[in-house]
Amino acid sequence: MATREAGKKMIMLKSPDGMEFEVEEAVAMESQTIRKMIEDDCADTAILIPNINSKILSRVIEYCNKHVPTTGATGAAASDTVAPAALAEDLKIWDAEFIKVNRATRFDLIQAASYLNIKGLLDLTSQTTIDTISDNSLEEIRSFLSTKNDYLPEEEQTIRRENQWAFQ
Amino acid sequence: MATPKRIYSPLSEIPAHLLEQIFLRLPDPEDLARTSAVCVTFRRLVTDGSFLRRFRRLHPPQVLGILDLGGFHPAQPPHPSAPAARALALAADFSFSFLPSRRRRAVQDVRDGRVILVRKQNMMAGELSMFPDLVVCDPLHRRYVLLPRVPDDLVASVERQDDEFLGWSCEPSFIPPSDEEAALAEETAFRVIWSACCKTNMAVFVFSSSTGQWRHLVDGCVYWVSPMNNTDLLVLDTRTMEFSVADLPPGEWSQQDIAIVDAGEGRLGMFCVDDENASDKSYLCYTIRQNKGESSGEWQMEKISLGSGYRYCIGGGTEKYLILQRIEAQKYLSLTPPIMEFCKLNVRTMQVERICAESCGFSGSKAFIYTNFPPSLLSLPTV
Repeated sequence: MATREAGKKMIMLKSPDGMEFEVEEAVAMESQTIRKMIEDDCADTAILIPNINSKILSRVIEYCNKHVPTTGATGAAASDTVAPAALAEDLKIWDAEFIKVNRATRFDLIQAASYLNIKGLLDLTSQTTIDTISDNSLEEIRSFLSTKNDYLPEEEQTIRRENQWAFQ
Repeated sequence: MATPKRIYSPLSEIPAHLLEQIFLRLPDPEDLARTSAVCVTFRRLVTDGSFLRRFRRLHPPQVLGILDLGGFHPAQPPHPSAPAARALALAADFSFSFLPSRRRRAVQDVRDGRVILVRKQNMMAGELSMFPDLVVCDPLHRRYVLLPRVPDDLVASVERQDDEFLGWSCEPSFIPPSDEEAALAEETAFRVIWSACCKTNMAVFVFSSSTGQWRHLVDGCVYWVSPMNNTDLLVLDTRTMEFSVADLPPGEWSQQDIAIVDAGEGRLGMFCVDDENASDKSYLCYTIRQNKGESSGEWQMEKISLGSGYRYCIGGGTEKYLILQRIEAQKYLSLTPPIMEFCKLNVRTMQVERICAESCGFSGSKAFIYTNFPPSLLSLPTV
Protein backbone atom coordinates (compact mmCIF):
# COMPACT_ATOMS: atom_id res chain seq x y z
CA MET A 1 0.00 0.00 0.00
CA ALA A 2 2.79 2.38 0.94
CA THR A 3 4.58 1.94 -2.38
CA ARG A 4 1.37 2.64 -4.26
CA GLU A 5 0.90 5.82 -2.28
CA ALA A 6 4.43 6.84 -3.08
CA GLY A 7 3.93 6.22 -6.80
CA LYS A 8 1.01 8.64 -7.05
CA LYS A 9 1.49 11.70 -9.20
CA MET A 10 0.49 14.92 -7.48
CA ILE A 11 -0.86 18.10 -9.03
CA MET A 12 -0.92 21.57 -7.52
CA LEU A 13 -4.17 23.54 -7.92
CA LYS A 14 -4.01 27.26 -7.21
CA SER A 15 -6.98 29.51 -6.49
CA PRO A 16 -6.95 33.19 -7.50
CA ASP A 17 -6.77 34.22 -3.83
CA GLY A 18 -3.36 32.57 -3.59
CA MET A 19 -4.16 29.28 -1.88
CA GLU A 20 -2.52 26.10 -3.12
CA PHE A 21 -3.99 22.61 -2.95
CA GLU A 22 -1.91 19.55 -3.58
CA VAL A 23 -4.10 16.75 -4.94
CA GLU A 24 -3.55 13.42 -6.59
CA GLU A 25 -3.68 13.61 -10.36
CA ALA A 26 -6.52 11.05 -10.45
CA VAL A 27 -8.60 13.25 -8.14
CA ALA A 28 -7.95 16.38 -10.19
CA MET A 29 -8.89 14.48 -13.34
CA GLU A 30 -12.46 14.06 -12.05
CA SER A 31 -12.71 17.48 -13.66
CA GLN A 32 -12.90 17.04 -17.42
CA THR A 33 -11.46 20.52 -17.85
CA ILE A 34 -8.34 19.66 -15.84
CA ARG A 35 -8.15 16.22 -17.43
CA LYS A 36 -7.95 17.85 -20.84
CA MET A 37 -5.25 20.25 -19.68
CA ILE A 38 -3.18 17.35 -18.34
CA GLU A 39 -3.75 15.13 -21.38
CA ASP A 40 -2.88 17.96 -23.76
CA ASP A 41 0.25 18.57 -21.73
CA CYS A 42 -0.85 22.14 -21.03
CA ALA A 43 -0.42 21.66 -17.32
CA ASP A 44 2.77 22.24 -15.43
CA THR A 45 3.00 21.00 -11.93
CA ALA A 46 0.68 23.84 -10.86
CA ILE A 47 -2.65 24.81 -12.45
CA LEU A 48 -4.31 28.14 -11.76
CA ILE A 49 -8.08 27.79 -11.46
CA PRO A 50 -9.53 31.22 -12.30
CA ASN A 51 -12.83 32.47 -10.83
CA ILE A 52 -13.05 29.85 -8.12
CA ASN A 53 -12.06 31.05 -4.65
CA SER A 54 -10.23 28.86 -2.19
CA LYS A 55 -13.33 28.16 -0.09
CA ILE A 56 -15.26 26.77 -3.06
CA LEU A 57 -12.21 25.06 -4.57
CA SER A 58 -11.57 23.18 -1.35
CA ARG A 59 -15.19 21.95 -1.35
CA VAL A 60 -14.85 20.85 -4.99
CA ILE A 61 -11.65 18.94 -4.16
CA GLU A 62 -13.44 17.35 -1.21
CA TYR A 63 -16.15 16.17 -3.61
CA CYS A 64 -13.67 14.81 -6.15
CA ASN A 65 -11.70 13.04 -3.43
CA LYS A 66 -14.82 11.23 -2.36
CA HIS A 67 -15.94 10.36 -5.89
CA VAL A 68 -12.68 9.29 -7.47
CA PRO A 69 -13.25 5.65 -8.45
CA THR A 70 -9.92 4.20 -7.30
CA THR A 71 -8.31 2.86 -4.19
CA GLY A 72 -6.72 6.25 -3.79
CA ALA A 73 -8.70 7.51 -0.83
CA THR A 74 -7.19 6.99 2.55
CA GLY A 75 -8.49 3.89 4.23
CA ALA A 76 -8.53 2.20 0.84
CA ALA A 77 -8.02 -1.22 2.37
CA ALA A 78 -11.47 -1.03 3.93
CA SER A 79 -13.23 0.01 0.73
CA ASP A 80 -11.78 -2.98 -1.12
CA THR A 81 -14.05 -5.26 0.82
CA VAL A 82 -17.23 -3.18 0.59
CA ALA A 83 -19.88 -4.20 -1.96
CA PRO A 84 -20.52 -1.70 -4.81
CA ALA A 85 -24.18 -1.22 -3.82
CA ALA A 86 -23.25 -0.33 -0.26
CA LEU A 87 -20.58 1.98 -1.59
CA ALA A 88 -23.12 3.77 -3.81
CA GLU A 89 -25.49 4.11 -0.86
CA ASP A 90 -22.68 5.53 1.23
CA LEU A 91 -21.90 8.06 -1.51
CA LYS A 92 -25.54 9.11 -1.69
CA ILE A 93 -25.62 9.83 2.03
CA TRP A 94 -22.35 11.66 1.77
CA ASP A 95 -23.67 13.76 -1.17
CA ALA A 96 -26.80 14.68 0.78
CA GLU A 97 -24.63 15.99 3.62
CA PHE A 98 -22.25 17.72 1.24
CA ILE A 99 -25.00 19.74 -0.44
CA LYS A 100 -26.38 21.12 2.85
CA VAL A 101 -25.03 24.59 2.15
CA ASN A 102 -26.58 28.01 1.77
CA ARG A 103 -27.81 29.21 -1.61
CA ALA A 104 -24.86 31.48 -2.33
CA THR A 105 -22.44 28.60 -1.81
CA ARG A 106 -24.59 26.27 -3.88
CA PHE A 107 -24.66 28.70 -6.80
CA ASP A 108 -20.90 29.12 -6.54
CA LEU A 109 -20.59 25.33 -6.61
CA ILE A 110 -22.81 25.16 -9.72
CA GLN A 111 -20.52 27.64 -11.46
CA ALA A 112 -17.42 25.75 -10.36
CA ALA A 113 -18.87 22.39 -11.44
CA SER A 114 -19.76 23.83 -14.81
CA TYR A 115 -16.38 25.49 -15.38
CA LEU A 116 -14.44 22.44 -14.24
CA ASN A 117 -16.90 20.15 -16.06
CA ILE A 118 -17.66 17.71 -13.25
CA LYS A 119 -20.94 16.13 -14.26
CA GLY A 120 -21.79 14.46 -10.96
CA LEU A 121 -21.26 17.67 -9.03
CA LEU A 122 -23.31 19.67 -11.53
CA ASP A 123 -26.17 17.16 -11.24
CA LEU A 124 -26.00 17.30 -7.47
CA THR A 125 -25.86 21.09 -7.18
CA SER A 126 -28.62 21.73 -9.77
CA GLN A 127 -31.05 19.25 -8.26
CA THR A 128 -32.31 21.52 -5.47
CA THR A 129 -33.13 24.26 -7.95
CA ILE A 130 -34.88 21.75 -10.22
CA ASP A 131 -36.95 20.42 -7.32
CA THR A 132 -37.86 23.98 -6.37
CA ILE A 133 -39.18 24.73 -9.85
CA SER A 134 -40.96 21.37 -10.13
CA ASP A 135 -42.76 21.47 -6.82
CA ASN A 136 -43.74 25.08 -6.18
CA SER A 137 -45.95 27.94 -7.30
CA LEU A 138 -44.52 30.86 -9.27
CA GLU A 139 -44.42 33.08 -6.19
CA GLU A 140 -42.59 30.41 -4.21
CA ILE A 141 -40.13 29.81 -7.03
CA ARG A 142 -39.35 33.53 -7.19
CA SER A 143 -38.87 33.74 -3.46
CA PHE A 144 -36.70 30.60 -3.29
CA LEU A 145 -34.51 31.75 -6.13
CA SER A 146 -34.48 35.43 -5.08
CA THR A 147 -35.65 36.31 -8.57
CA LYS A 148 -37.55 39.51 -9.18
CA ASN A 149 -40.75 39.37 -11.18
CA ASP A 150 -40.07 41.91 -13.91
CA TYR A 151 -43.17 41.17 -15.96
CA LEU A 152 -45.91 43.71 -16.43
CA PRO A 153 -49.08 42.29 -14.85
CA GLU A 154 -50.76 41.90 -18.24
CA GLU A 155 -47.68 40.19 -19.71
CA GLU A 156 -47.69 37.66 -16.91
CA GLN A 157 -51.41 37.10 -17.43
CA THR A 158 -50.85 36.38 -21.12
CA ILE A 159 -48.07 33.89 -20.42
CA ARG A 160 -50.16 32.18 -17.77
CA ARG A 161 -53.10 31.99 -20.16
CA GLU A 162 -51.00 30.58 -23.00
CA ASN A 163 -49.59 27.90 -20.75
CA GLN A 164 -52.60 27.39 -18.52
CA TRP A 165 -52.17 23.62 -18.59
CA ALA A 166 -48.83 23.98 -16.79
CA PHE A 167 -50.40 25.73 -13.80
CA GLN A 168 -52.94 23.05 -12.86
CA MET B 1 -29.46 39.23 19.15
CA ALA B 2 -30.80 39.86 15.70
CA THR B 3 -29.98 37.20 13.15
CA PRO B 4 -27.71 38.64 10.52
CA LYS B 5 -29.42 39.03 7.19
CA ARG B 6 -27.89 36.63 4.73
CA ILE B 7 -27.34 37.98 1.26
CA TYR B 8 -28.31 35.46 -1.39
CA SER B 9 -27.06 35.69 -4.90
CA PRO B 10 -30.19 35.65 -7.04
CA LEU B 11 -30.41 32.84 -9.55
CA SER B 12 -30.91 35.32 -12.36
CA GLU B 13 -27.36 36.54 -11.78
CA ILE B 14 -25.99 33.16 -12.72
CA PRO B 15 -24.59 33.23 -16.26
CA ALA B 16 -27.08 32.26 -18.92
CA HIS B 17 -25.26 29.12 -20.02
CA LEU B 18 -25.43 27.80 -16.45
CA LEU B 19 -29.13 28.53 -16.13
CA GLU B 20 -29.59 26.62 -19.37
CA GLN B 21 -27.73 23.65 -17.89
CA ILE B 22 -30.11 23.70 -14.94
CA PHE B 23 -33.27 24.18 -17.00
CA LEU B 24 -32.31 21.34 -19.34
CA ARG B 25 -32.50 19.05 -16.32
CA LEU B 26 -36.12 19.96 -15.56
CA PRO B 27 -38.14 16.75 -15.78
CA ASP B 28 -41.36 17.87 -17.53
CA PRO B 29 -42.49 20.35 -20.18
CA GLU B 30 -44.83 21.99 -17.66
CA ASP B 31 -41.82 22.85 -15.48
CA LEU B 32 -40.36 24.67 -18.44
CA ALA B 33 -43.62 26.50 -19.16
CA ARG B 34 -43.77 27.65 -15.51
CA THR B 35 -40.11 28.66 -15.61
CA SER B 36 -40.92 30.94 -18.55
CA ALA B 37 -43.43 32.79 -16.36
CA VAL B 38 -40.97 33.47 -13.52
CA CYS B 39 -39.19 36.44 -15.10
CA VAL B 40 -38.24 37.96 -18.43
CA THR B 41 -34.68 36.58 -18.33
CA PHE B 42 -35.90 33.03 -17.79
CA ARG B 43 -38.44 33.35 -20.58
CA ARG B 44 -35.82 34.57 -23.02
CA LEU B 45 -33.66 31.57 -22.19
CA VAL B 46 -36.26 28.83 -22.42
CA THR B 47 -37.96 30.14 -25.57
CA ASP B 48 -34.68 30.26 -27.46
CA GLY B 49 -34.80 27.89 -30.43
CA SER B 50 -31.53 26.09 -29.78
CA PHE B 51 -32.43 25.61 -26.11
CA LEU B 52 -35.82 24.15 -27.04
CA ARG B 53 -34.18 21.77 -29.49
CA ARG B 54 -31.81 20.52 -26.80
CA PHE B 55 -34.68 20.12 -24.33
CA ARG B 56 -36.71 18.17 -26.89
CA ARG B 57 -33.77 15.88 -27.57
CA LEU B 58 -33.41 15.08 -23.87
CA HIS B 59 -37.11 14.56 -23.13
CA PRO B 60 -39.50 12.15 -24.83
CA PRO B 61 -42.73 13.69 -26.17
CA GLN B 62 -45.83 13.08 -24.04
CA VAL B 63 -48.73 10.81 -24.87
CA LEU B 64 -51.50 13.36 -25.35
CA GLY B 65 -54.36 11.31 -26.72
CA ILE B 66 -55.79 8.93 -29.29
CA LEU B 67 -56.71 9.55 -32.89
CA ASP B 68 -59.22 7.22 -34.53
CA LEU B 69 -62.22 7.29 -36.87
CA GLY B 70 -64.13 9.30 -34.28
CA GLY B 71 -61.50 12.06 -34.19
CA PHE B 72 -59.14 13.10 -31.43
CA HIS B 73 -59.65 11.92 -27.87
CA PRO B 74 -57.45 13.84 -25.43
CA ALA B 75 -55.93 12.06 -22.44
CA GLN B 76 -58.18 12.47 -19.42
CA PRO B 77 -57.47 12.59 -15.68
CA PRO B 78 -55.95 10.78 -13.90
CA HIS B 79 -53.54 10.47 -16.83
CA PRO B 80 -50.67 12.87 -16.01
CA SER B 81 -50.76 14.61 -19.39
CA ALA B 82 -54.49 15.42 -19.21
CA PRO B 83 -54.07 19.23 -18.76
CA ALA B 84 -51.61 19.43 -21.66
CA ALA B 85 -53.89 17.22 -23.77
CA ARG B 86 -56.84 19.55 -23.17
CA ALA B 87 -54.70 22.50 -24.24
CA LEU B 88 -53.75 20.59 -27.39
CA ALA B 89 -57.38 19.73 -28.18
CA LEU B 90 -58.24 23.45 -27.98
CA ALA B 91 -55.27 24.59 -30.04
CA ALA B 92 -55.19 21.93 -32.76
CA ASP B 93 -57.53 21.17 -35.64
CA PHE B 94 -58.13 17.44 -35.80
CA SER B 95 -60.96 17.88 -38.29
CA PHE B 96 -58.24 18.93 -40.76
CA SER B 97 -60.32 21.84 -42.05
CA PHE B 98 -57.10 23.62 -43.02
CA LEU B 99 -56.58 21.21 -45.92
CA PRO B 100 -57.35 22.66 -49.36
CA SER B 101 -59.91 20.10 -50.43
CA ARG B 102 -62.78 18.89 -48.30
CA ARG B 103 -62.60 15.38 -49.73
CA ARG B 104 -63.00 12.73 -47.07
CA ARG B 105 -59.74 11.47 -45.74
CA ALA B 106 -58.75 8.66 -43.41
CA VAL B 107 -55.94 8.63 -40.89
CA GLN B 108 -53.23 6.14 -41.82
CA ASP B 109 -50.51 6.78 -39.27
CA VAL B 110 -49.55 9.22 -36.53
CA ARG B 111 -46.08 9.92 -35.25
CA ASP B 112 -44.17 12.84 -33.69
CA GLY B 113 -47.15 15.18 -34.08
CA ARG B 114 -47.58 14.35 -37.78
CA VAL B 115 -50.53 12.58 -39.35
CA ILE B 116 -50.72 10.74 -42.68
CA LEU B 117 -54.11 11.08 -44.35
CA VAL B 118 -55.22 9.21 -47.43
CA ARG B 119 -57.94 10.54 -49.71
CA LYS B 120 -60.90 8.24 -49.70
CA GLN B 121 -61.50 6.88 -53.16
CA ASN B 122 -64.82 7.17 -54.86
CA MET B 123 -65.40 3.67 -56.15
CA MET B 124 -68.63 4.71 -57.85
CA ALA B 125 -66.70 7.19 -59.95
CA GLY B 126 -64.31 4.46 -61.00
CA GLU B 127 -61.45 5.52 -58.73
CA LEU B 128 -59.39 2.52 -57.84
CA SER B 129 -55.74 3.28 -57.39
CA MET B 130 -53.36 1.20 -55.40
CA PHE B 131 -51.67 4.41 -54.31
CA PRO B 132 -54.23 7.14 -53.70
CA ASP B 133 -53.18 10.70 -52.82
CA LEU B 134 -51.51 11.22 -49.46
CA VAL B 135 -51.20 14.28 -47.24
CA VAL B 136 -48.86 14.60 -44.27
CA CYS B 137 -50.05 17.27 -41.88
CA ASP B 138 -49.43 18.83 -38.50
CA PRO B 139 -52.87 19.44 -36.99
CA LEU B 140 -51.49 21.62 -34.21
CA HIS B 141 -49.83 24.12 -36.52
CA ARG B 142 -52.37 23.60 -39.32
CA ARG B 143 -49.66 22.88 -41.86
CA TYR B 144 -49.57 20.21 -44.51
CA VAL B 145 -47.52 18.72 -47.32
CA LEU B 146 -49.26 17.11 -50.29
CA LEU B 147 -47.15 14.13 -51.22
CA PRO B 148 -46.55 13.61 -54.94
CA ARG B 149 -48.08 10.51 -56.46
CA VAL B 150 -45.98 7.39 -56.52
CA PRO B 151 -44.38 7.57 -60.00
CA ASP B 152 -45.83 5.36 -62.69
CA ASP B 153 -42.61 3.45 -63.25
CA LEU B 154 -42.54 2.48 -59.59
CA VAL B 155 -46.22 1.55 -59.63
CA ALA B 156 -45.63 -0.52 -62.75
CA SER B 157 -43.30 -2.76 -60.79
CA VAL B 158 -46.28 -4.08 -58.83
CA GLU B 159 -49.17 -3.51 -61.23
CA ARG B 160 -48.40 -6.20 -63.77
CA GLN B 161 -50.61 -5.96 -66.80
CA ASP B 162 -50.78 -9.73 -67.20
CA ASP B 163 -51.93 -10.15 -63.62
CA GLU B 164 -55.65 -10.33 -63.09
CA PHE B 165 -55.13 -9.82 -59.36
CA LEU B 166 -54.86 -6.06 -58.98
CA GLY B 167 -52.70 -6.15 -55.90
CA TRP B 168 -52.92 -4.96 -52.41
CA SER B 169 -51.21 -2.05 -50.72
CA CYS B 170 -50.71 -1.75 -47.02
CA GLU B 171 -51.27 1.38 -45.02
CA PRO B 172 -48.55 3.96 -45.44
CA SER B 173 -46.67 4.65 -42.24
CA PHE B 174 -43.96 6.91 -40.90
CA ILE B 175 -40.41 5.80 -40.41
CA PRO B 176 -37.79 8.02 -38.77
CA PRO B 177 -35.72 10.25 -41.05
CA SER B 178 -32.15 9.25 -41.71
CA ASP B 179 -29.52 10.90 -39.55
CA GLU B 180 -28.42 13.18 -42.39
CA GLU B 181 -31.99 14.30 -43.06
CA ALA B 182 -32.60 14.92 -39.37
CA ALA B 183 -29.41 16.99 -39.17
CA LEU B 184 -30.54 19.19 -42.07
CA ALA B 185 -34.10 19.85 -40.92
CA GLU B 186 -34.39 18.76 -37.35
CA GLU B 187 -38.11 19.27 -36.75
CA THR B 188 -39.58 18.89 -40.20
CA ALA B 189 -37.80 15.83 -41.60
CA PHE B 190 -39.92 12.72 -42.01
CA ARG B 191 -40.20 9.66 -44.20
CA VAL B 192 -43.20 7.63 -45.26
CA ILE B 193 -43.00 3.99 -46.18
CA TRP B 194 -45.60 2.39 -48.41
CA SER B 195 -45.61 -1.15 -49.62
CA ALA B 196 -47.71 -3.15 -51.97
CA CYS B 197 -47.79 -6.59 -53.43
CA CYS B 198 -49.46 -8.49 -56.20
CA LYS B 199 -49.44 -12.21 -56.80
CA THR B 200 -45.89 -12.35 -58.03
CA ASN B 201 -44.20 -9.28 -56.76
CA MET B 202 -43.72 -7.02 -53.81
CA ALA B 203 -42.47 -3.46 -53.65
CA VAL B 204 -41.61 -1.01 -50.92
CA PHE B 205 -41.52 2.72 -51.57
CA VAL B 206 -40.22 5.45 -49.38
CA PHE B 207 -40.97 9.13 -49.52
CA SER B 208 -38.46 11.48 -47.98
CA SER B 209 -39.34 15.06 -47.04
CA SER B 210 -35.83 16.19 -47.90
CA THR B 211 -35.92 15.02 -51.52
CA GLY B 212 -39.68 15.32 -51.99
CA GLN B 213 -39.61 12.08 -53.96
CA TRP B 214 -40.59 8.45 -53.73
CA ARG B 215 -37.89 5.84 -54.11
CA HIS B 216 -36.63 2.52 -52.82
CA LEU B 217 -34.41 3.46 -49.94
CA VAL B 218 -34.87 2.80 -46.25
CA ASP B 219 -33.41 1.58 -43.04
CA GLY B 220 -35.31 0.01 -40.21
CA CYS B 221 -37.68 -2.94 -40.29
CA VAL B 222 -41.22 -3.54 -41.49
CA TYR B 223 -43.39 -6.51 -40.66
CA TRP B 224 -46.66 -7.72 -41.87
CA VAL B 225 -48.74 -10.82 -41.94
CA SER B 226 -48.82 -12.35 -45.34
CA PRO B 227 -52.27 -11.72 -46.81
CA MET B 228 -52.05 -14.99 -48.68
CA ASN B 229 -52.12 -17.56 -45.96
CA ASN B 230 -52.15 -15.83 -42.55
CA THR B 231 -49.51 -18.13 -41.15
CA ASP B 232 -46.38 -16.32 -42.18
CA LEU B 233 -44.90 -13.10 -41.04
CA LEU B 234 -43.08 -11.21 -43.75
CA VAL B 235 -40.11 -9.38 -42.39
CA LEU B 236 -38.26 -6.79 -44.39
CA ASP B 237 -34.89 -5.82 -43.06
CA THR B 238 -34.71 -2.47 -44.76
CA ARG B 239 -31.05 -1.99 -43.92
CA THR B 240 -30.18 -4.84 -46.23
CA MET B 241 -33.45 -4.64 -48.23
CA GLU B 242 -33.86 -8.36 -47.72
CA PHE B 243 -37.13 -10.09 -47.13
CA SER B 244 -37.50 -13.09 -44.96
CA VAL B 245 -40.50 -15.14 -44.01
CA ALA B 246 -40.88 -15.99 -40.35
CA ASP B 247 -43.38 -18.50 -39.06
CA LEU B 248 -46.02 -17.17 -36.76
CA PRO B 249 -46.71 -18.97 -33.53
CA PRO B 250 -49.10 -21.86 -34.13
CA GLY B 251 -52.69 -20.81 -34.82
CA GLU B 252 -54.62 -18.68 -37.25
CA TRP B 253 -53.59 -15.05 -37.41
CA SER B 254 -54.74 -12.10 -39.40
CA GLN B 255 -53.65 -8.50 -39.49
CA GLN B 256 -56.77 -7.51 -37.53
CA ASP B 257 -56.17 -9.77 -34.56
CA ILE B 258 -52.63 -8.97 -33.76
CA ALA B 259 -50.25 -6.14 -33.35
CA ILE B 260 -46.57 -6.37 -34.04
CA VAL B 261 -44.42 -3.78 -32.38
CA ASP B 262 -40.79 -3.02 -31.84
CA ALA B 263 -40.08 -4.29 -28.34
CA GLY B 264 -36.68 -2.62 -28.20
CA GLU B 265 -33.18 -4.07 -28.39
CA GLY B 266 -33.84 -5.48 -31.85
CA ARG B 267 -36.74 -7.59 -30.67
CA LEU B 268 -40.17 -8.09 -32.18
CA GLY B 269 -43.22 -8.25 -29.96
CA MET B 270 -46.45 -9.78 -31.15
CA PHE B 271 -49.65 -9.30 -29.18
CA CYS B 272 -53.18 -10.66 -29.23
CA VAL B 273 -56.08 -10.64 -26.79
CA ASP B 274 -57.57 -13.85 -25.47
CA ASP B 275 -61.00 -13.46 -23.91
CA GLU B 276 -62.58 -16.59 -25.34
CA ASN B 277 -61.87 -18.68 -22.29
CA ALA B 278 -63.99 -20.36 -19.65
CA SER B 279 -63.38 -17.72 -16.98
CA ASP B 280 -64.54 -14.16 -17.57
CA LYS B 281 -60.96 -12.94 -17.44
CA SER B 282 -59.14 -11.41 -20.38
CA TYR B 283 -55.55 -12.13 -21.12
CA LEU B 284 -53.03 -10.40 -23.26
CA CYS B 285 -50.96 -13.03 -25.00
CA TYR B 286 -47.66 -11.93 -26.27
CA THR B 287 -44.47 -13.27 -27.57
CA ILE B 288 -41.21 -11.50 -28.01
CA ARG B 289 -38.31 -12.74 -30.00
CA GLN B 290 -35.10 -11.60 -31.51
CA ASN B 291 -35.63 -10.38 -35.04
CA LYS B 292 -33.23 -12.82 -36.61
CA GLY B 293 -35.70 -14.80 -38.67
CA GLU B 294 -35.27 -17.96 -36.63
CA SER B 295 -37.82 -20.71 -36.66
CA SER B 296 -41.08 -20.54 -34.76
CA GLY B 297 -39.46 -22.42 -31.93
CA GLU B 298 -38.22 -19.03 -30.83
CA TRP B 299 -41.71 -17.71 -30.14
CA GLN B 300 -42.43 -18.22 -26.48
CA MET B 301 -46.02 -17.36 -25.66
CA GLU B 302 -46.57 -15.44 -22.43
CA LYS B 303 -49.83 -14.33 -20.86
CA ILE B 304 -50.66 -11.44 -18.63
CA SER B 305 -54.04 -11.07 -17.00
CA LEU B 306 -56.02 -7.95 -17.85
CA GLY B 307 -58.52 -8.68 -15.08
CA SER B 308 -62.20 -9.39 -15.51
CA GLY B 309 -65.26 -7.34 -16.36
CA TYR B 310 -64.03 -5.89 -19.65
CA ARG B 311 -63.89 -6.96 -23.26
CA TYR B 312 -60.64 -5.95 -24.88
CA CYS B 313 -59.42 -5.47 -28.38
CA ILE B 314 -56.17 -4.18 -29.81
CA GLY B 315 -56.53 -0.81 -31.47
CA GLY B 316 -53.06 -0.63 -32.92
CA GLY B 317 -49.42 -0.42 -32.07
CA THR B 318 -47.32 2.71 -32.16
CA GLU B 319 -43.62 2.60 -31.51
CA LYS B 320 -43.28 1.36 -27.94
CA TYR B 321 -46.99 1.43 -27.10
CA LEU B 322 -49.88 -0.83 -27.85
CA ILE B 323 -53.39 0.62 -27.73
CA LEU B 324 -55.95 -1.50 -25.92
CA GLN B 325 -59.62 -0.61 -26.25
CA ARG B 326 -61.99 -1.95 -23.64
CA ILE B 327 -65.71 -1.97 -22.96
CA GLU B 328 -67.39 -3.20 -19.82
CA ALA B 329 -68.38 -6.77 -20.52
CA GLN B 330 -71.95 -6.28 -19.27
CA LYS B 331 -72.48 -3.33 -21.60
CA TYR B 332 -70.95 -5.10 -24.55
CA LEU B 333 -74.24 -6.22 -26.05
CA SER B 334 -76.49 -3.55 -24.56
CA LEU B 335 -78.43 -1.10 -26.70
CA THR B 336 -77.17 2.06 -25.02
CA PRO B 337 -73.88 3.25 -26.49
CA PRO B 338 -71.15 1.82 -24.32
CA ILE B 339 -68.22 3.74 -22.93
CA MET B 340 -65.05 2.76 -24.67
CA GLU B 341 -61.83 3.19 -22.76
CA PHE B 342 -58.48 3.59 -24.44
CA CYS B 343 -55.46 2.29 -22.58
CA LYS B 344 -51.84 2.18 -23.53
CA LEU B 345 -49.56 -0.71 -22.83
CA ASN B 346 -45.88 0.06 -22.65
CA VAL B 347 -44.35 -2.96 -24.38
CA ARG B 348 -41.01 -2.47 -22.66
CA THR B 349 -42.46 -2.48 -19.13
CA MET B 350 -45.86 -4.21 -19.73
CA GLN B 351 -47.56 -1.45 -17.72
CA VAL B 352 -51.17 -0.69 -18.70
CA GLU B 353 -52.37 2.91 -18.22
CA ARG B 354 -55.77 4.39 -19.09
CA ILE B 355 -55.60 7.35 -21.47
CA CYS B 356 -59.23 8.36 -21.97
CA ALA B 357 -62.80 7.18 -22.39
CA GLU B 358 -65.36 8.06 -25.01
CA SER B 359 -68.97 7.06 -25.33
CA CYS B 360 -69.65 5.03 -28.43
CA GLY B 361 -66.14 4.79 -29.76
CA PHE B 362 -65.58 2.99 -32.99
CA SER B 363 -65.00 -0.41 -31.53
CA GLY B 364 -62.26 -2.30 -33.24
CA SER B 365 -61.31 0.55 -35.54
CA LYS B 366 -57.67 1.37 -35.88
CA ALA B 367 -56.49 3.89 -33.34
CA PHE B 368 -53.24 5.83 -33.07
CA ILE B 369 -51.47 7.31 -30.11
CA TYR B 370 -50.71 10.98 -30.60
CA THR B 371 -47.47 12.03 -28.91
CA ASN B 372 -46.05 15.50 -29.00
CA PHE B 373 -44.85 18.34 -26.84
CA PRO B 374 -47.72 20.41 -25.49
CA PRO B 375 -48.54 23.80 -27.02
CA SER B 376 -47.36 26.44 -27.26
CA LEU B 377 -43.87 26.80 -25.84
CA LEU B 378 -42.30 23.51 -26.90
CA SER B 379 -44.22 22.36 -29.93
CA LEU B 380 -42.55 23.38 -33.15
CA PRO B 381 -44.08 22.86 -36.60
CA THR B 382 -43.33 19.36 -37.85
CA VAL B 383 -43.93 19.73 -41.59
